[in-house]
Amino acid sequence: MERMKKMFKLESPGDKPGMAARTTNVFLVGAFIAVIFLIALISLGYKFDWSVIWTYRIKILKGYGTTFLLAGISIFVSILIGIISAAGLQSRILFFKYLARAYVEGIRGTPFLVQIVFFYFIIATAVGLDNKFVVGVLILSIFTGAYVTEIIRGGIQSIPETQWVTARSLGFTTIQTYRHIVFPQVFRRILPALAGQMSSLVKDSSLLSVIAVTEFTKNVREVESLTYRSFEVLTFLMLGYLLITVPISLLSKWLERKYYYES
Amino acid sequence: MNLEVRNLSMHYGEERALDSMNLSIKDLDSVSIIGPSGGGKSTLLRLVAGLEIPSSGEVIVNGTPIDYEEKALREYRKRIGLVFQSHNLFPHWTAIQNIVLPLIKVFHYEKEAAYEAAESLLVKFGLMEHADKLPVQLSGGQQQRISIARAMARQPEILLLDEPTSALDPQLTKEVLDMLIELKAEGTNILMATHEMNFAKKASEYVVFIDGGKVAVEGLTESFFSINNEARLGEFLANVFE
Repeated sequence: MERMKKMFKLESPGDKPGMAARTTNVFLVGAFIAVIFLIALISLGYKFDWSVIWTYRIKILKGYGTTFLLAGISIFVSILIGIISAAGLQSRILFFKYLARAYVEGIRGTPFLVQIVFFYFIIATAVGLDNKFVVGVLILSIFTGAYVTEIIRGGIQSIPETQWVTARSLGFTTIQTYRHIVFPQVFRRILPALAGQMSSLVKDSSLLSVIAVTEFTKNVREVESLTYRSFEVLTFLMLGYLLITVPISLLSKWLERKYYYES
Repeated sequence: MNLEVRNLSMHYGEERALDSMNLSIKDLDSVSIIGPSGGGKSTLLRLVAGLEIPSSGEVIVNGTPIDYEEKALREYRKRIGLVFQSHNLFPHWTAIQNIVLPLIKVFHYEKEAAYEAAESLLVKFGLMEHADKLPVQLSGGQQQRISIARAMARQPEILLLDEPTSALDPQLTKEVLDMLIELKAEGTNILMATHEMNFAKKASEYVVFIDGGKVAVEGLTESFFSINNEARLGEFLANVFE
């Protein structure tokens, strides 16, 4: 009885389940989700036809490639923007400080969809930028950069004052203190939040379909409207995003362990 | 060491942490600063360490007045070793990295030379087995001893300690004090704020009692503890030894 209980319940929330308990419960969750879908499909009287995905594989893969590239470049650009803007927030020069604050509040306080349309039809048009991929990267990076800014700012503020004083007493310059003492610790502390934000970025890239960036969501939805196989293509669409976001989350966990230094 | 404090004041808003303090220390190796919390001990140490800029007055260390201009201060801090009450070590670096990296980044040591210097210090103080541990894996006493080793790595003109044992239990306190006694025996100049009266008695040549932002009583160690005509000091000592 006691052993049976251990298969399903942890002593405390922080405990690690055994291999058998883990496998069993992962399987149960999978079965639970499958049953719900199955009931839905049976009540709809749906007949599968997965062949449409194969038929339109080139279009779907092209979209996936675009999303992958778009998100990949945007991850780097958004973190770069986040670092610059976080430096602006920390700056003693008031113009930079308020500029960074206005950027963060402006972006975080308005809907992404509106920003996309605004940026594309007004700003991009005004400066004569018509490469949709480049516009997509810029919009996505500017949007995510505001959230990254706040994550970095929180990370910097979590470094105790004593460390700054100690660094100063040892003769480190401000730049050295940031580089060798503050940033390495901030990096470790903000990893989980940053990874979450990057997963959001990948998913948010689907909204760029409204300005006709030929990314994953747009191409798959076109296949849907050509074939009316909604269930198949949308399932495939979701799996496609998971294929990017799950590794991001795993990578973050691995990095957290690698740079572990606190109890 | 020679330390001359002239009309030194430090005001934080309305609060006068130091109030026209005067102090003259000549040719002494080790000095203890005692006194009640909030009396100005830490402020004095931070000013001597070049961490803050005084409201007025000056501090002359071994004949040179401290130039309170940021660039000059950074140079000055290289001549001083400083250890705080706790959390001195950077948590993302191992014990030896905490000693080595300031040598490389601030003093521009070659990597090998820095490690050599750090290792010889760790060996000397029996800390070599902890070289590759992170601060979180060390006891409070070990952390403080590594911090002192780090401060000594720069061969400081003065080793400043701000209540280095007040966060430790008696056993760990002894570890740290033994190390300081060893350093003193080698001729290290030590200026320490402390609540450890026995240590002040045993290991310092001169004791300064600071209260209300001023030096209230001072004297050579033997005579200092026999002073009994100072009400505030008597009260303080009675409380400490209670």
